[in-house]
Amino acid sequence: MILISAGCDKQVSHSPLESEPPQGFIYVNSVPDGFTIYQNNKNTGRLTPDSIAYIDAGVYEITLKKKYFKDTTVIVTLNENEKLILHVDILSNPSMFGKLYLQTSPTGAAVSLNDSSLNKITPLTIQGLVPGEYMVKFDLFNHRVKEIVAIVQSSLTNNYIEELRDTSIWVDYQVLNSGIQSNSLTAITIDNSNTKWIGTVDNGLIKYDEVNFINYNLTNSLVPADKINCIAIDVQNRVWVGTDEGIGIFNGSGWIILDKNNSGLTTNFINSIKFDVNNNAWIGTTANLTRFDGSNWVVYNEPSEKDWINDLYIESMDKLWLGTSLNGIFIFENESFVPLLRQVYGYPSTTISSLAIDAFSNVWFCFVPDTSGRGGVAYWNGTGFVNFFLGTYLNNINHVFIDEQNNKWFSTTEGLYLFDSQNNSSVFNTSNSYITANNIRSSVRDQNGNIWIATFGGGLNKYKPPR
Amino acid sequence: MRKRAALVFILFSYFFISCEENFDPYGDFVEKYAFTCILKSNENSQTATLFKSYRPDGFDPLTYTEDPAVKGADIRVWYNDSVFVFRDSSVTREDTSRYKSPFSFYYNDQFMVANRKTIELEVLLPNGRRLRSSSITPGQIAFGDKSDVIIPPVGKNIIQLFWNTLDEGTFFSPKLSVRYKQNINGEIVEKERDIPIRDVSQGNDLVPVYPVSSSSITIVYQMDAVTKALEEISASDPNKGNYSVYQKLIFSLVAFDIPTSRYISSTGGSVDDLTVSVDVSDYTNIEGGFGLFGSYSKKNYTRLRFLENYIESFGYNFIIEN
Repeated sequence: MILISAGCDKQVSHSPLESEPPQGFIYVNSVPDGFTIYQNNKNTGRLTPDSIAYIDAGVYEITLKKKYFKDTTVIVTLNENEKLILHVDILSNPSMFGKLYLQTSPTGAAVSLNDSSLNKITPLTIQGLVPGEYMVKFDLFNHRVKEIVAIVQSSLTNNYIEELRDTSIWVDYQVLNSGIQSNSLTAITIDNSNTKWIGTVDNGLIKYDEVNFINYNLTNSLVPADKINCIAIDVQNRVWVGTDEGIGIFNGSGWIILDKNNSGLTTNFINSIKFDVNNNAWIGTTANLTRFDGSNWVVYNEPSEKDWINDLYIESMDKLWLGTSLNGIFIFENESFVPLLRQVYGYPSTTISSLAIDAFSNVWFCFVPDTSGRGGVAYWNGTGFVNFFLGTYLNNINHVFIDEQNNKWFSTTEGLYLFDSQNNSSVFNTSNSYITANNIRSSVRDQNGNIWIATFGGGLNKYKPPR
Repeated sequence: MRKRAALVFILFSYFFISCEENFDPYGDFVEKYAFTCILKSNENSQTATLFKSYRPDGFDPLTYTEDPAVKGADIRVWYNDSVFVFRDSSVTREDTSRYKSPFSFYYNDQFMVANRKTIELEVLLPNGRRLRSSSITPGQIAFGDKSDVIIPPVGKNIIQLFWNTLDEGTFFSPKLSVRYKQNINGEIVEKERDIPIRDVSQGNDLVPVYPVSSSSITIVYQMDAVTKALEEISASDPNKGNYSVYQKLIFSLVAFDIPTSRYISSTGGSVDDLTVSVDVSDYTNIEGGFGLFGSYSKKNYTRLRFLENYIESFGYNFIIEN
């Protein structure tokens, strides 16, 4: 028997058998859904509807959380192996809802909520809103439509007091509030269809028909460069743009490029393009004065090569006025360059940026500061110059536009100056108006009498003068 | 006599009958699970693996060719008040000699860990079993002011770097690399070479010794090893002008959290060859299974620079950096 007992003696080690996992489930659903499920104050990382699976029997604190909503907590008792369904109607709790108080300055703006008109005007309190983010739109006549994202939170009234931009006199078109593709504008002109053509320093040419901004730049068109120096409209309503890479002519669908490689141009740097009564294009370049009749090119070089032409004005077929950089004013008459020396005539500086003629046949010149003198404006009355100094010594007078009422609009780096027909002056700048920048590059009046202003940094502005 | 013989027969028969029993050396098979995940501080691509135990027929585990990867598990990591769910994924297996199916793993690319944060893990297996773990990410590393800044150092033939951390028991994995450009038939190729701490003789050869993970808070590189490594980047190329060496070296230091440090300590391994085998009891911090849930942080020491004349002594060009 001892033998038997000894022979059967053995030691075997066993791993303890693991118990089966619990089979309890809590299926959590909510209306609305998308709430984060917390189990005993711990984020499960699950959103309703979802299950908390394989859990032991017991008492659980289930909390549903969602941004802007109050937390909802439910205590549930789960029996062993029970499949429990927990349905929570979040919105059955009146304190879940929130309010919005909407106010505008001025009041009376129509309010839309998520693109649905409420048929109510500001000031307004909206009650019973499900928490969340709402797109609120304010619409008031002669004011820019304003859209905001308003947040509604459970049991709270959130206030939104918005100032509406008055557009009865000034309207601005910037990258962030319109479809315009650049805020850094260099030139503007209007064609026979009242379409605005706008040059930029960084994004080519922009067409604006008061509905859409369409951009023609190096990536999507044959425009010669993204920096536009000047724009002109010919008798065929084609748009000519002068750039540092030649001229581009756009007929609405295609481009013709003229440069020193395929035309009579001797340089690609184009500063000014004007058309005479015979539809000849007169082109001011950094090298000379050039005339193009559509097929033939004639280049006029000033004998002493002082030909850095910034702008020109065609008084007649035989007489042009030329404004240059550092070389003052020339009259180009009968194919000869006649200088009007600053030393003789005493105009503000020797760098002229822009020329125009008024209703009394006075030729107006814009001057920018240079080594010879300060910026200013002056007009030639047939015998001499009458000077005006605008703003500070350093003010660049960039452009002059004279409208049908003989108002002169001077685009300067210190605002938009207006000389009325009697040459009484006023200025629009960021301190006294809604104009969006003081650095003005160009302006023009449209067929409706509105002044369109190309700013450098502030996009496009429209000014509706009193009528 | 006949009676005695009969008694002996009965006794022996009883003995054999009573002791006859099937004996299984494995015991009852219980399926177990091994989970591995080391969260990174320097990239937001986090991966994890999950395997189950298996029993081969016979004693050779290699005869078992069914992929032990567990798919369909719900893996969640709690970090910084957020929950990150890991997704199933797989990649083509390079070595298909044993397992034919793609290599399965889990991933999340939404987060990286910062210093001294609590991380928690819960793995819900498809059969309802749970694995749990938690850890605290490594503390911040600060490099000591006494660390060398130039190579070669003045008056000594070693380079020594120091660092410290507030976490006791942290293991570190240091690595020093030199960056250079090589002109290969007109094409400039950016390259990097790791520097050994020293070279040891093995027969007629000098064999480089690279740093291993340890709890040491300093490291010493022999200048001879640095010089030899620099020579070797152009060993077979007589035209030394094809090589341009960057002024700055990269000394990267990986600090492991305590569970990972303990794992490295117990296995003598490093994070580069990190594998946790099922049923291996070296180390585990997974409740309900085996494996490792940890993290590491990485910090670079950027003050270490070559001197220009030292690099030019090899015939290499010198790339100055700010």
